[in-house]
Amino acid sequence: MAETRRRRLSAPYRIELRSRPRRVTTYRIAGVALGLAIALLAAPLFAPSVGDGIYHFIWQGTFGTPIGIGNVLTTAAPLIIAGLAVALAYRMGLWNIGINGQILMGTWLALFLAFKLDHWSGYALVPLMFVAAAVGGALWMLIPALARVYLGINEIVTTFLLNFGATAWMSYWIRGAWFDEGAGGGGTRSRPAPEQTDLGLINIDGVLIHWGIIVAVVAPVLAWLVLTTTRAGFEMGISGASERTGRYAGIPVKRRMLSVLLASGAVGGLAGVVDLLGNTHYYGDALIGGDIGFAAVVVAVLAGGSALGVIVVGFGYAAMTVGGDSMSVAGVPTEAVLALIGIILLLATAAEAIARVRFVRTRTRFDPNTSPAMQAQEEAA
Amino acid sequence: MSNSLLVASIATALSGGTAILIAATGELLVERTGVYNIGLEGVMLVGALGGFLGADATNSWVLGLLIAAIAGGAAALVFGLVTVVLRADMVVTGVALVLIAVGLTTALGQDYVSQSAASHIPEWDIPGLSDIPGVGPAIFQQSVMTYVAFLLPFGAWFLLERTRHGLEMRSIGENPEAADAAGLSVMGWRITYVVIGGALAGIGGGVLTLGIIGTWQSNLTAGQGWVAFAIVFFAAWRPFGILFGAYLFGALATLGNVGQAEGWSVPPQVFVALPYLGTVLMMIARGWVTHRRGGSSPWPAALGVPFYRS
Repeated sequence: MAETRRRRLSAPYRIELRSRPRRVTTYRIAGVALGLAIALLAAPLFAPSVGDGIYHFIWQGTFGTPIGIGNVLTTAAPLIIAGLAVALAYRMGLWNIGINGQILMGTWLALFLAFKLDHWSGYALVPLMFVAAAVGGALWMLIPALARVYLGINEIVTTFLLNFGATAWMSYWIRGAWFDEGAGGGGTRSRPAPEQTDLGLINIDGVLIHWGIIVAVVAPVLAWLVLTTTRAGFEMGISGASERTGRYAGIPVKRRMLSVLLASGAVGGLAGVVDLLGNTHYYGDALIGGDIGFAAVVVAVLAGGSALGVIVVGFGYAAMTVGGDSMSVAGVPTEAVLALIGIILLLATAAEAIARVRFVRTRTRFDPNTSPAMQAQEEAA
Repeated sequence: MSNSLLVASIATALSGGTAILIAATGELLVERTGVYNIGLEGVMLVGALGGFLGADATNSWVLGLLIAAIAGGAAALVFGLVTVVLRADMVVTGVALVLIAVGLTTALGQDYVSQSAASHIPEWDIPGLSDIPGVGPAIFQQSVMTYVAFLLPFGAWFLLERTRHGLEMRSIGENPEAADAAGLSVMGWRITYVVIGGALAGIGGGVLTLGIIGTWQSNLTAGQGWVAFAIVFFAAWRPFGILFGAYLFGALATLGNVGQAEGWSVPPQVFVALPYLGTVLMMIARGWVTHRRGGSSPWPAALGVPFYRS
């Protein structure tokens, strides 16, 4: 119906998808760098009282002191593992926004067994707790995974909403059966885990870090090996890039999706138990402090879903959080750093999008004086 | 259950679903044009603080809600520019938006925490109806915005199903290539509706600070934006499904008060988790029914698919 045609606003440029994207990773890193620059430049604005002195606070809080480095590493350990959990799903085009829930349910199962078996030696109990945390995390993922794979129900929403269930579960236990009758708890945390499960500290030149950091290095490397050298990893890569291609190649896409989601949940549980046994020693809010679920998404995305990349990005993210916390000495609310991290993520994803497109100048407006038809007429005359 | 408790519970359930109802109706319009704004929680939060500060500055809840709408629309515009124009990933951009919103609103609002709003949304007793014993006080003595919110899905239904423009919107969400060939500006309308949806989510947030909660608290939306997002899926992109979903959430959220008043021996945490777990269950039940009927997916076909003119 020609008469219903509407006038289109003519934009000077048109955006087209490139058949082959530019260097996506380079663009993403450039976006992150720009965001970091903005964050560093903006930092003094948050604390007018100290001005440029804020950089001193940040440096002292992160890499300037052994305690600072220890804090960064302690924060990085669960974050890297949680980032790996999200990255596994992300590689297959799936989302796990429910790390908080998997951490709380995984550590719950681990600690439940530890309290029952507290006469066991630590050497037996700790491995058992790791397994239990992985099982607990995977079980908490089971319903969203089945719903996604067999009913096509959006896993972003279900994994996230289940977090509220897990938080209520935690609250029930730390105010009930696991109530901390000792000092300080006040219903915000459980009684401490059995003493023999403490992972213990490594002392490197005065930098104190618990043994759980080993998991944060080994798990991504193992995942990388599995993803790059095994058939299942290869098939996941293919079906992640294009589900249709995967199906055409005879890959059991649904089964791969299910197993990758469950693996993601299991690794999410591990992130919790590492922090529990190495850092907090209590069950409670601190395990998901600062909303590790979103942080893990940021880490996985900025790492481009790379299993090894999450180590680097997780470490950088931890440095930013710890740096942000040290700004609170100067009266900056700790959440301010969340906004900066959000801006970095926004710039990185926008940069990545720009790498995939090209800007084409749209046709210039019809100009009768230069149109070929007009010129032909003039020549004829 | 005593009569007065029942009346109070129905009234709370209706007002408890209001913010979600407004935000979800906005999100429905956005998704019918093919975009999903996962950052809805962030947009609501920005609207909540915007509404609070707006009412603080103007001493008027109407202007407060207007500023909430502008703030929410502006936040959504950022999302729209990055996802619709640059075609960046909607999930990642949405998460970024939530982080920015949580960080900014907490930092900017820290001096206002627990302060009462300068102007509250008034109640309006519908003359005549509100005098009916039982039902009257439960349903017809509500905040003005509760009535407005109730009418919104009807408006959305009329727009989508009974107007030419609604048909165009749906065509953009189902088959953007065809819509483009018919001369519609896919990008233009998608951005427009992202902003309209954001303005509605902003108003939803404003209703929380100026009405239902009545104060500013950091992170006061507490997942309501996510629930609104989930309800659109649960409702299978139909306006009246949203009406049902939002009030069911409100009812589940009220159950805790009832349980407490009646002295049920159920841990309070059950009631805290119930509305969220209930939403998940509703989504799964819905998917299960659709699946059993072998029905086609109710998704707008181009939802979440970026559009490039070839």
